[in-house]
Amino acid sequence: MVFDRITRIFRRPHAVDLSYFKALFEKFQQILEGNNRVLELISGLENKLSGQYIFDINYLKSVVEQLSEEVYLVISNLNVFADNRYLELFSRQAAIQKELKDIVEGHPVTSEDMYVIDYDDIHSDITEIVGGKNANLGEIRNQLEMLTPDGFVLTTSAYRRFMEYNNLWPEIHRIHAGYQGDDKESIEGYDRAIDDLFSSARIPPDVMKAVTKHLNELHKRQKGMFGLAVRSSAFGEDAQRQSFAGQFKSFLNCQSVDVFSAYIKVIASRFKYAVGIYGGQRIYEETELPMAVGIQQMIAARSAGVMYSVDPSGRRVDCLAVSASFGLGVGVVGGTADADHFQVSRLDPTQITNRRIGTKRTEMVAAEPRGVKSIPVREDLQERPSLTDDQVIELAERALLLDRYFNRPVDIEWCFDDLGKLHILQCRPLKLPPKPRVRPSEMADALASKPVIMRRQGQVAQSGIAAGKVWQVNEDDDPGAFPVGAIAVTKYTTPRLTSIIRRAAAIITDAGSPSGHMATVAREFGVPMIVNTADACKLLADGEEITVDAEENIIYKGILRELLEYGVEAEDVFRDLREYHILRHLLRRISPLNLLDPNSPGFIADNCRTYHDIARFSHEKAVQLLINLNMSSRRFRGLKSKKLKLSIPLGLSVIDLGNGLSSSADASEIDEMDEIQSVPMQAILKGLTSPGVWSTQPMQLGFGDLVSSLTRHSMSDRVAEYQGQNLAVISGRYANISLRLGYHFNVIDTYVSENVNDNYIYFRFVGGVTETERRHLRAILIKDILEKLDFKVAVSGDLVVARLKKLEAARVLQVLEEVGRLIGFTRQLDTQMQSEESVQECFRAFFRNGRNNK
Amino acid sequence: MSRQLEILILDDEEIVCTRLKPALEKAGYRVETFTDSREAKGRLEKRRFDIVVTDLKMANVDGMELFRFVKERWPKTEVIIISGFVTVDVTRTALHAGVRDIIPKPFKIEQLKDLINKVADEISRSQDK
Repeated sequence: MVFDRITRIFRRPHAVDLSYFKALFEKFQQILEGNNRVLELISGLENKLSGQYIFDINYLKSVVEQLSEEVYLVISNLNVFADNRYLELFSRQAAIQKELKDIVEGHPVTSEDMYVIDYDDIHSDITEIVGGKNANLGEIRNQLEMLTPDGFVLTTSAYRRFMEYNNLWPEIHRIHAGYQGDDKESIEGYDRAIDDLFSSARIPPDVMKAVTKHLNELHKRQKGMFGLAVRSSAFGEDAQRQSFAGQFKSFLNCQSVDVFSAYIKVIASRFKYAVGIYGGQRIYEETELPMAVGIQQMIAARSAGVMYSVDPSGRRVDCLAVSASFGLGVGVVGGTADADHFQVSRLDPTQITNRRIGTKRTEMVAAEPRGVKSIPVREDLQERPSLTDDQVIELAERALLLDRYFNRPVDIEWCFDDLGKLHILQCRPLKLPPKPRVRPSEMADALASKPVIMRRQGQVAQSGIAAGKVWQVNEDDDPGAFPVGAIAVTKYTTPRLTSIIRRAAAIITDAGSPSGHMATVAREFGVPMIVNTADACKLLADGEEITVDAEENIIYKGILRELLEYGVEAEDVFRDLREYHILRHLLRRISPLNLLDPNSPGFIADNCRTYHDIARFSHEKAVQLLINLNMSSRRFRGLKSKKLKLSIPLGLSVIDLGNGLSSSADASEIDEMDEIQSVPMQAILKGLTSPGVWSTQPMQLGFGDLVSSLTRHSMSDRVAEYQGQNLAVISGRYANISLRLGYHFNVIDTYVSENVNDNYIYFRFVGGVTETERRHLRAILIKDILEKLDFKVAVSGDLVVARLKKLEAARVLQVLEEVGRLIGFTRQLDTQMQSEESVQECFRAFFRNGRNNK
Repeated sequence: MSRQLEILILDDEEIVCTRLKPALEKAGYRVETFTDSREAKGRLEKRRFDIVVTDLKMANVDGMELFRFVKERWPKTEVIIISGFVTVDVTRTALHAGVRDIIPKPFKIEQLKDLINKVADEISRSQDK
């Protein structure tokens, strides 16, 4: 194989051969280029979450293919470069590629034989095997860290195993074929036949074993527990056009010994006649509506009920609805006379806009030893509210957070326990009753007459529609004070703001960029965001009610209900789309960066869980290897790097590929600058050593910087601290310089000749010790400067990649000198970067210094 | 306000239709969408649209074929092609033949909307004359 042959060539134990090194160096460059292409593909994919793009499944397939190819290539090049030291990366890549292929082709990801999963391990990626409601509970428990009942789920795999073990499908089809009538007798006969069939079914031994194990563990965790709830959660039951709400059975307050019979009854309920009315033929198809079942610890509820994050009665999109009663809340539904009903403003969830206190004569409580029973409510309490106002507000805020998190109206079951703690028992998409609405086509006219505060100022970072009260945020404000559902208006995209994204209805900033860290987080949570509007803080007064249309980039005065309604629907449409789910799903396997610290023992190939990890790992290892090559390898004996003595403490070693150094430079140190003959290297050093360039300001680190070095954010932190010395590989016309300065990593790769077509400068900059936002500000500064120098620049977070091609040699050298100045100038700038203003200040300073030097 | 302009969108990927329809309706256009090229052709046979937005590679009738059909039947209708397989050659051929513009997929909704607004302006100006 070619690959083996190349590897063998590199292993040849000869003494020095410059061509080895050249070939190796080429591999290094290929790793670098591959790594960049991977990062560009990833950020392109992340952008598609914003709602601003039209993409289809073919795009997703093609990006997955391209990414897989690029990552494979990076690994191949790394292994050639590193003597096959990282072969395990191939199996990591193959595993991820298979998962991605499964996702993009719509197959479930998790292994078939997983019958039981704890709620602690459930997230939305595995909706196919735990069902939608359980997946939501997992997200609420594990991502949002809210209280939900402890327990586990019998998966759809357990369901398939159960159906197969008892050979139930042929029997079900037979019963279905036998009863076709719609009269009461036929229906009862049909349901009876289904019950009979399931009553003789048995739990497969392997499933029983898994359940028993989890039951025992649950018992151990929850001493003196209250009983178990057995709840259905079919995959696909909440699909857009169908809802099976209330059709599948659930059992409350079961004992452990009841779990299996309850499980069988829940499964049987999937085949009942009434379900067929909703589901039609679909319920008789073996692949449809696979049933997962949750086994949950019961909560001793003081009060309980349901709430809707958008009030479905009359579709008040600016209100939400809470219904409550004493006890377990069984049977509490919106509107009935025997429960309490509250309407709360979505724009300001501390405002209870309406309340109707019902007469609650009975409440449901747990019975001994099992089941539930109705008992009378004490007479003096019957007319009293089952919730305090504070509890109503707590519920309302919770509803908005969940609405925000799932990006759609939700229907939530909840309870307050004896200690007054709020538990979320179930959360599912809310089906809003159909209502004649303003059609999008009529909206254009309707909106034309509305007062506009801002139109097309700045850029949309995340599309969507929201309304609420303006809440201006200053850098020093406590993020915890930000009210849920308000619209955040702020000067800068400061890192502190990141923590309010989940609470905000929308975010509008004066400065900032759509490729910034905050925008990435806003996209992850689907919060509408408009950045760089220049004067939102001036135009939008604190407390003012506004409607944000981050599709058209228009901000209206007041609350435009018709636009909000349209927004609720449009968001639903996008987020219901298969392609959207696939995209989110893919990104979880592609974009989070888990390998952050190259010095940690966990920084190994086997721990690469995403493509981003592999790219990061490969790049890191390649850089380390290149830098260490001359010191460690016998192969390169005689090709030692030489230390370059400079007036500044750069610690730069030089490897000459030919004609880069003058022939007199044969000592291990280069004393004189004029021993450097590499034309591009000369230019860079000239800029770097010019007076006043080397910033000697001390680092200023704040608390936030320390925190940011301790925490990580999954989607966009592409950064960790690079280690190593500084190395230049040069020839007469070529220079590749890898620099670690402070905590950032800088690569310049350039070629200069008489042939204009060959000339290029590649500039790459990443990293820093400070908070992401300040690193990003520095990235913006570097971008601005490089653009002024005619580079084509791409910024993603704090990664700057810039290219300049096909210029006359003289111009390339001029630019390289400026690049040299830039390297020194920006060395520690991120610690001084506080705001957009400091970016502009530094920008001016850079070019002012440049003029002064001339 | 002048007459509401009518747009026909054809793309065999449903997501393209589902997302473009409300976005363009909100901008004030009347929109019909099709995922089946033969059905779209049938509709175009009977009715004139101001603008046709079509995918390029589809089963049965491809984008260029549809373009030729439209131009023959309704010479004044403007055709915009959206495609995931845009090459220099494809673009040259299409623009040379009289396609108004060709937008590679994926694209920003705004990009298409801006183009359509521009075309709509031209149409209403020529009608005013």
